[in-house]
Amino acid sequence: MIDFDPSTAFKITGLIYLLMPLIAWVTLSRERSHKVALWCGGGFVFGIGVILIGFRGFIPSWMSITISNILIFAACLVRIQSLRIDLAIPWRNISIVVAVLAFAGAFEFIQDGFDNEPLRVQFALLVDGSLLIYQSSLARRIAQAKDSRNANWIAGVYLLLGSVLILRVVEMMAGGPVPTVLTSNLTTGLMVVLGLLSAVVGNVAYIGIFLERAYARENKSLETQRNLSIALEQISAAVAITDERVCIEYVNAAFTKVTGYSFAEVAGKNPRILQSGQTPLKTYREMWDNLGKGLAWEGELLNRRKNGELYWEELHIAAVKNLEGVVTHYFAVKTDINSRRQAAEALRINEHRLRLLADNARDVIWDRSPDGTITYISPSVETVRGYTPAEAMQQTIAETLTPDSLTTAMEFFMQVVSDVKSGQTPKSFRGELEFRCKDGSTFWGDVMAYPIVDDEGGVRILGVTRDIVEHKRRKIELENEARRLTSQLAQMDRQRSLGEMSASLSHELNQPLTAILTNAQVGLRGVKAGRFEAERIEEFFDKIIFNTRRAGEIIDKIRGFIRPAEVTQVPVDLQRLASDILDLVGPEAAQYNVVVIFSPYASPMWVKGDATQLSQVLMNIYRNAIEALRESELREIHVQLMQFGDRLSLSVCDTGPGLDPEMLQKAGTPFLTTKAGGLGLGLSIARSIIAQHQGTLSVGIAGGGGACVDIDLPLLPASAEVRL
Amino acid sequence: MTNPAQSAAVPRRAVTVDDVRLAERCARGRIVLIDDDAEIVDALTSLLDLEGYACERYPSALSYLHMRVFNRPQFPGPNCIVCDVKMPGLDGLELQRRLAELDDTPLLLMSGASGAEEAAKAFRAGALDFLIKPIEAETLLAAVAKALSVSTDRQRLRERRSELARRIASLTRRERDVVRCVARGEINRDIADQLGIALRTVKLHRQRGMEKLGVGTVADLARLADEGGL
Repeated sequence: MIDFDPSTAFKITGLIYLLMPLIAWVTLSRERSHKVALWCGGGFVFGIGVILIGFRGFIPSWMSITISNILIFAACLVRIQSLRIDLAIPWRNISIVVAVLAFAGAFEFIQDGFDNEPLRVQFALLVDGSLLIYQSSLARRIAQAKDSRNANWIAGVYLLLGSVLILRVVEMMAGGPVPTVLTSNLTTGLMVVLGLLSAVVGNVAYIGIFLERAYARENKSLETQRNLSIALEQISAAVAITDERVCIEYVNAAFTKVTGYSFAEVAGKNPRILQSGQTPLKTYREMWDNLGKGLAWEGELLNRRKNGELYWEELHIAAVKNLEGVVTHYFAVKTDINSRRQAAEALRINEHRLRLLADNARDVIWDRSPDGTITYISPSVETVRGYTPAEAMQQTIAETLTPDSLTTAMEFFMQVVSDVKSGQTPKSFRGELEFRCKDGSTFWGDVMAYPIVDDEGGVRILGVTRDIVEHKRRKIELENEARRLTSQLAQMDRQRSLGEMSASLSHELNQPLTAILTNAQVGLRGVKAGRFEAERIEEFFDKIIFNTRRAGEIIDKIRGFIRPAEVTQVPVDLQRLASDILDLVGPEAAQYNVVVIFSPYASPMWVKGDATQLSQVLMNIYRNAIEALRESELREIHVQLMQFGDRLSLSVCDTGPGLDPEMLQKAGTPFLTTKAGGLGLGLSIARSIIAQHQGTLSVGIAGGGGACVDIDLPLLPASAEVRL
Repeated sequence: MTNPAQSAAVPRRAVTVDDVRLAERCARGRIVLIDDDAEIVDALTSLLDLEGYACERYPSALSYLHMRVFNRPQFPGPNCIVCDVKMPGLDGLELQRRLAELDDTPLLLMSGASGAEEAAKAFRAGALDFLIKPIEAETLLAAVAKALSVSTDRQRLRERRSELARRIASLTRRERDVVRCVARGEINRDIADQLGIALRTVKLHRQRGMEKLGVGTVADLARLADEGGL
């Protein structure tokens, strides 16, 4: 049996319990926190409780028993709370206070209610032991979570202490003497020894936990620092660190690469050696203003490399402060954005250029975002639709298009969507759509739309709308102009032909006139002389009338040919025309002993066009043929009309020398002629006239070797014929 | 006188009443109308008919020339041709060239076009007149009358020349030699010396020759020799 004085032992233990938390508190001065305060405070209270037990008999028993037990209980709870905070599962403080009050109540109730001293001791011992074991298990969890040997020590020592208290309860229940704390026996000895041990080990180990943690932190920070410096050397951004006087202490490899200065060259120098003098002073002022307020700053500077080259850099700079808030370093990250800036500048110019193009285009250019809103529309929309771009952008597609066109557009959108869903590239759209105008009218536009799929699968559509009306109007204007010129040229050509034919035509016209005049004069003479009877005179009048009509017909044909009237589009019987013009050139043909063989078609052949111009074509071809026959033995012209489906074919072939292949190829070229006095425009005018009538004129070789001109023209449908 | 007109040489006899009328008309003037336009030929025929002329009508120059080949006898009288310039086949100008080879019938050309070039060509080839259509009746009649008088003159001249030729042909060789010399104004003695004959013989030939030629004076002889190509 160990013979010792438990009272003294308790006092010593209590003192150590008082002392150790104080030592820990001082030791952990740099790690102080709520949980440390709770731990140390708990230990201190526990110490007081133990000392009060040690003074049992010397002080009133409520103090030695009740207060000390409550203090010990509270100390256990506080320490448990400290560990729970460490484990990040704290109790609420109020529940601790309630628990202490409940314990105090129960403790007093057992004494006053049952007046059973051993029961009270057993209760206190049991509760405290349990709490100590629970405390041990918490320490064990910390040990496992943070791999801490010190926490294991705490767990072990508290487990032992808790176990001894439980052992003591078991001992009492087994009928042992009701122990007073101050009775010296084995368990009391164990309690004292273990109390001492726990006081020392618990607090030392607790400090150990923090030492372990500090060590780990230190390790980690070293590693981070090493990683950081490796990273600094490897990143592409230039990094410079200066001291508080802005003298360079560190630069990384990228800094050398960007600026051309090595660390040796810039060490201890002010980074202003990089200044080009072209960065606005305002920028620097703004930078130092920010740094002075402790804010980081970023901006763009135009700096100069070691080789004198200017470059743009993006600078991120921040002041580094120590714990006292004093600036110790400046940390600067610089990125060479020269190429980026150039690219951005090029992009900006390009965008500006495109914008300018779009803004000034006659066509309407628009951009439809995936959500269906129009994000851009060129100002030309106002000229075609009357809406300003801002108004047009507000409109829905249904307000923009007429119902039919809306359907077309929607079909296109659906197609695009289904294409995108099935992973295909959506097809672009080309078609005519009818747009609503501000004045209530509509306008037809030729629309080209190009779907562009973005990363999220949304489809924006870029489009161009061309004003067909304007387009068509210009086309028609051009056509009209061409028609007008051709008609002028044709008119000149007709006048020329007529001039050339004037001799034969005036002869032709003078024949009936001669007959008229002579008949009239003879009649007059006969009547004057009284030699004519009435029947004879009638005969003369008949002749005069007949010849006058004859003259009239000739004049009609000539007038039909020279009429400079506007180009008309009326049904013309080409068969009739071909024969009429033959009559006009008849005298000329006769003069050169040319025989014309005309093979008409069974029925009239209606074409839509201008009779005068078509006459001219025929006249031209006939006269060419007559001319070609001048030197020939056999002088025949075969004119044949035929019908092939809805087209007619008129061929005029002569028995002349024909054309050699070279001439054949060039026939119809303006100003190319085989005739000495000709302009060479006849056939080219004829060709353009026929082309304006949607027909073709071709020159070839006839069966007999002569030239053959074929005209192919569209026939009017039979209905048009009936209408006439 | 290489090719004297046959019609003049072999006059046609009038046997019927129509023939007599035609002969009367022909005596006034026979006009050949050539034009491809029947209306004009009709009108002109009416006009000339009214004036008492005989008219022959042909639709083309070729048909006229064709008729000429048959050489049908004609009633005596002046004649002329009125022809259109522009005709299919042979035109007026071409006809004129061909006719010039045949006889001296006066030719009047008509044209619907007043081409100066055409007219010049016609006159150069010997056309008597160039009439521009439409032709005034008076103008035509005046031109026809003129042409007929030219024709009369030419026929007379032709007759006279053939008479002269006949007379010259009746001279003997000596007579012709002597008369030729006389006509040149040589005196008898010189002629006798030149021909190597006696002065008396010269005088005899001269007298006979002048009798045969029907001239009384040396001046007449000289003019006749000049005219008849002695």
